[in-house]
Amino acid sequence: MRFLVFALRRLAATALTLVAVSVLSFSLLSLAPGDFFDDMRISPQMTEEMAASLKAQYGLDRGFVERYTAWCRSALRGDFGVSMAYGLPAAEVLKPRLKNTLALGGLSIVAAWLIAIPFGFVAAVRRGSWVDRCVQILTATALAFPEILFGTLLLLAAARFGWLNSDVVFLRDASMLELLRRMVLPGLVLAFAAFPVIVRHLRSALIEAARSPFVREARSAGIRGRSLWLGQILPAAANPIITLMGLSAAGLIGGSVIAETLFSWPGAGPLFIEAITARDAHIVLDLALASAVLLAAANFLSEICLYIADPRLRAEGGPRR
Amino acid sequence: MKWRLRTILPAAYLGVLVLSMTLAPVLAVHSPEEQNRDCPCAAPSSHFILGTDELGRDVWSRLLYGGRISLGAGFVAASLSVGIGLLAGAAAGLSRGIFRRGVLALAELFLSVPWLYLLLAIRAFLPLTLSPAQVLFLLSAVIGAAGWARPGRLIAQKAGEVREREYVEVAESLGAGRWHLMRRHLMPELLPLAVTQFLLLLPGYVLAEVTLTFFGLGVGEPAASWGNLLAPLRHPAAASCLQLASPLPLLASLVLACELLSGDGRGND
Repeated sequence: MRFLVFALRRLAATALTLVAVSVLSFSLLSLAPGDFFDDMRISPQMTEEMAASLKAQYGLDRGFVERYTAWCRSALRGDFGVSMAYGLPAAEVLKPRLKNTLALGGLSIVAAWLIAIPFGFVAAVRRGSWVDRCVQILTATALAFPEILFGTLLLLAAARFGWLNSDVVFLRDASMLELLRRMVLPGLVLAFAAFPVIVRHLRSALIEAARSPFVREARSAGIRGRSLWLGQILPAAANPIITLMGLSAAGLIGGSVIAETLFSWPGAGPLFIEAITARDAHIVLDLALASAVLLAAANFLSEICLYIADPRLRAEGGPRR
Repeated sequence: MKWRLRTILPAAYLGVLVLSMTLAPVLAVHSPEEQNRDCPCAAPSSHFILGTDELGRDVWSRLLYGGRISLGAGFVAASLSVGIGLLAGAAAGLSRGIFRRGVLALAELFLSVPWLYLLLAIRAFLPLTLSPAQVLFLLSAVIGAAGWARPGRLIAQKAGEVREREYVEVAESLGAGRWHLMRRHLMPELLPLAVTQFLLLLPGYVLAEVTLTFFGLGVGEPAASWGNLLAPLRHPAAASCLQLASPLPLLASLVLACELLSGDGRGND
């Protein structure tokens, strides 16, 4: 029961944040001058009147509040506005792109965690040894190459060694294997950026937990090795680790714009850049909101997990902010 | 902060970087915008120290002048973020009640906005005819103003902590005013934190400018920036023009240097 109250409270806070984010994004977007049809007026066939009538058709000539409520109504219907560039409800344009982004992001975050866990564990267990030193140097080097740098390097290498696919295959016709093959390069960029952060946090969370008095107690009681680290220290370190899981999922969103655009993965990233250059307002707004939703969902899920995993928080009635 | 090699070396690197960007007009032999169409993508030689790009422009000059823009944007934006964060954080830390909660809630909201997306969006809806200087100013202002929440929240936390200390409470009960508390007790504790935050934010902000420009949404040609120096590499055909990748090692070592310096400030375990 208390759990339910806690979950509902967090859910309400999350929903409130999302509304605030949508208002903020919408007002920032409408502060900026220019719209989709301003660029079309460069064409000689486009007269002033035609542009004006198209604007009226899409409701661009109306006031801020009216446009926002129109978008809200459309969002409630499930359309999330209109893409002016595609001439379709925004949801239809967004759905396949978001699916691709989630597939790529999900796979690479799982890969990053799977690779990072042994590194973080070994570094924590053998703290101060040469193994730890090596892991530290490795993570520092990896940290020096965030998405844009590592991505460019990888692109250079791919061009040089011919790893890029020049054959055009529509993804919906592609086989599972082909899809996975195409995910490798952009996925590598995402995973590489997430990897050092995970290793470092894992290491420091484990070391922090290993310092606590009950671990010393357990050691003196003769609990050692695997049962000490997995049975005692890991559960105590679960709190920061779970928080990090939420954070690292959120970090993927920003990175995916870079990774997807560099390696032409048909996800939300390239669509976003495309929508920006075309000034396709609703698509830009929806994508900004979608990543806020993902961020909020990751935070919400990690808070729920925290609540379940950490009895200390349950006693206090939910994670402190 | 101890004067160890791992402090001196990164600090020296940052110094050299800033110095060479400031001295760009002296160090650059050619104009960064002068095109030599007869020798595109030339290999490094005595004439062009780092070779030329696909339009025959001197890469060495473009690297120096581009660094001015990319690093400049980062410095301005990071100073802005930390400045706002320091003001808001210290004020929130000093006051209790509704103001403090308001600042923290606002920070929470700012942290839940995906700024790369909004940044791109804001840039896109600006008129396309802005001069590079205006774009640079606007971009760093937006990046900087958007990023205040992270340092702000940390600083507010620390300020609240310091305020609870006994000597501060004693000072207060002896009639010390807000301004005195701020100057004598808060700032000495908050400034090192602010410097560390600056170092943590700087590389990210430089990279934000580079990323935006890389995708054609930042500072436009012909002005040089590290982003549009790298931009031609998006097309596999330019992969043979390796000198275009020259900002990569500089950026990577910038990230590393800031990481080492800020790590020292935080105290490593």
